[in-house]
Amino acid sequence: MLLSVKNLSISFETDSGRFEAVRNLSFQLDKNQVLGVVGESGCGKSITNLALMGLLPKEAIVTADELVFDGLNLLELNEKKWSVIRGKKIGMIFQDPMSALNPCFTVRYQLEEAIRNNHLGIPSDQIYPMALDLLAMVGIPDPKSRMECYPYELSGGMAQRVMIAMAISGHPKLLIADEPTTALDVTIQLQILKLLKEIQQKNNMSIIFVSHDLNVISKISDKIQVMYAGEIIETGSKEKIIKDYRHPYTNGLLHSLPGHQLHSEKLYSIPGIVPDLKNRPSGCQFAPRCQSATNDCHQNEKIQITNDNGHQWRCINPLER
Amino acid sequence: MLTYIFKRILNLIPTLFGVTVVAFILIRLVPGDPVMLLLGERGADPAVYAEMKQNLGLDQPLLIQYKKFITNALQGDLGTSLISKRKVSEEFIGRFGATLELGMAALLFAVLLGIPIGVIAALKRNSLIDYFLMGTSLVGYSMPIFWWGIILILIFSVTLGLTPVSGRISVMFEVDRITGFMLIDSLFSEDGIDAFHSAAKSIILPAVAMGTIPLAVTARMTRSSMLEVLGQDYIRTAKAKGTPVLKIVFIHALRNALIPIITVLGLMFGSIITGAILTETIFSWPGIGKWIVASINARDYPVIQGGILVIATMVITINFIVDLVYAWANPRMRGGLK
Repeated sequence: MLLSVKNLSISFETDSGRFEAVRNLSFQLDKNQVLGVVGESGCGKSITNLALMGLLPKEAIVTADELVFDGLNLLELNEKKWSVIRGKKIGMIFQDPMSALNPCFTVRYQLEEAIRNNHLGIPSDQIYPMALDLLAMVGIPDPKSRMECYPYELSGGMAQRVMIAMAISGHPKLLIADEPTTALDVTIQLQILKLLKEIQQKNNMSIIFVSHDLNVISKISDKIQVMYAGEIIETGSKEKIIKDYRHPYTNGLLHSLPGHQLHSEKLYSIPGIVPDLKNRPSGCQFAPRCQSATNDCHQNEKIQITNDNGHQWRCINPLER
Repeated sequence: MLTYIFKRILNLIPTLFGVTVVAFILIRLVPGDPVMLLLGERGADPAVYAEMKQNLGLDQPLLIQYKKFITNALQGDLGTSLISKRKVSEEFIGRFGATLELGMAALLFAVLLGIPIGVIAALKRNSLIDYFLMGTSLVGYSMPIFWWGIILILIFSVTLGLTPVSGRISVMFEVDRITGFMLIDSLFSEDGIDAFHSAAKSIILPAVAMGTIPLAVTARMTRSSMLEVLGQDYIRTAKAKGTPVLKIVFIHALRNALIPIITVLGLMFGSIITGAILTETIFSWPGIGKWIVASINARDYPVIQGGILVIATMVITINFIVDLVYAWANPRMRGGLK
C-alpha cells in the first residue's frame, strides 16, 4: 500500500466560525493504482490533495487517525521535512497550466529548477540533457526550441505537458493531478489523459486524478471515489461506480453528463445546491437534494457504510440492483 | 523592438513642444520684469531701460521671441543667462551632475531599503513587524521634505556633528570636474580616498531627505505587490516541486512583484528631480533645482525656459528607459514588442 488515510478532517477557523471542509475521510491507494476522485466544486477534493503535499494555508487545522505515505507519517512533518515529499515522492499538476507556470521564467529555467530540487547534487552538465529527455517524454515536439519559450508562448496543452514534465522529474511514486484537463480543449484533454496513463505505466507510478467530470475520470481510473460535502459517499472499482452505482448522488452525477439523455431534450441537473459547510444539515449531507430521502436520512447522524467486496456506499436508501 | 523605440521617440516631439510653450508662457505670466530687476530697485532712466530691453530682445512681440527661442533650441543653443551672461547650456552642464548624483543616491537609498522592507512586511503579514514597518513608512510618506531635511541637519550635523551642514564636499578639497559626479571625481583628486570620504558624508543627509518619500512608496508598493504574487498559482507550483522557501520568495515571487514596482520607480524618479528644488535649497546643493529657483527669483527667462526644457527632456528620457527596463522584466511585454 502506498497511501493510507484514516479519518482525515480538515477544518478552517474563519471570522464567521469554524467549518469542516473535509470530515472523516478514509481511503487507501495501492502502488500503480489510478484513483479517480469526483465531486462538485467545494466538495473537498482539492483540499485533501493539498493536505497530502503540506500545502494547505496556515489557518487549516488537520487531524487524522492515520496519514501515512510510503511509510512516512505525514502528520509529523515540519516545513523542512516536507521537502523530502514534494517533487521527490509526490508530484502535482494543476487545473490551469497557464497560471501554474511562472510567467517571468523560461520553460528551461523552471524545468531545470525542478530537476535540481529533486536530484540533489546532480552534476550541472547532466541537467539540460535530462530536461530535454523529459520534454520529449511528455510529447513536446522540438524540445530544444520549446525550452527557450516563456509560458505565454505556449498553448494550454503544451503548458500542461511542461507541468507534467516538471512533476515527474523527480520520479515520484504518486502524481496528484488536480483537474488537469478542465481548462483544456476536449481534443487536448484526451491527449493529456493518454499521456498520463502512459507515464503512469512506464514509471510504475500511482495517480490521484481529481475531476468534476465522471466522463474524464472513467477514462483513466482503476478505482473511483465520489465525494460530497467533504465526505466520501461512494467508492469502488471503475466498473462498479459507472454501472453498479448505488448512491443517489452518483446516479445524479452520471445522469447530468451530456450524452446520457439522447431521447429527452433537457440535460438533467441535480436539484438544489451543495450545503453551506459552515451550517451543515443534520444526517446525510445529500438528503436535502435527494429524491429518495426519508425522515431517517435527515436525522441519522451515524449512517453506516455498506461494504460489498470493496464497493462501498454511505446511504440508507441506496438504489436497488 | 526597434520600431517600438522609434515610435516612442516620435511621441516625444509633441510632448517636448508642449513643454516649451508652457514654460515660455508661464514665466512671462508671473509678475515682475527682468529688466527692472537687472537695473536695480531704484529704477533708471527710461532711455536706459528701453535700450536694455531692446538689447535683451524683450521688446519684440511674444511670438517672435518664442520663434527665436525654438529655432535656437533646435540648434542646441538655449540662450544666455540675463544675470551671469553665460550660456544656459554651459551653466546647466555644470549643475546637472550634482542633481543627477543626488537623485540617484536618493533612489538607491529608497530601493535598497524599500524593497527588503516590503518583502519582510509581506512575509510577516499582519504581524507586529508588519504593522511597525508599514506604520513607519506611512509617517515617512507624510513627512514634508523641508521639515524633514531641517530635522536631519539638526540631529546629525548640529547635535551629533557627524555630517556637514551643506555643500557637496568640504572646502578643503579641490576636485576637478571629470564626470560631474563628486563621488567619482573625488577619487581622482589629489587627496583621493579622503576627498571621497568627505563627498560621501556630504551626500548622505540630502539623499536621505530626498529618498524618504520614495522609500515609503517603494516599501508599501513592494508589500502589496508581493502579497498579490505570493497568492498566485505558480508560487504553489514552485512549492509543489520542492523549491526552497528563500528561492521561492526572492526569485519566483520578487521577480514578478518587481514589474509594477519598476513602473512606480520610474515615475518617482521624475518627482525626485522636481523635488530636488526643495532639498537642494535646504542643503545648499549646487544642482539645477537650486539654480532654477534663483533664476525664477531673478526672472531670468532664458535660464527658466531652457532649464525646464532640459529637465522635461530628462524626465521623459528616464521614463523611456524605465519602459525599456519594464520590457526586460516582463517577458509578456517583450512579446508584444517583437
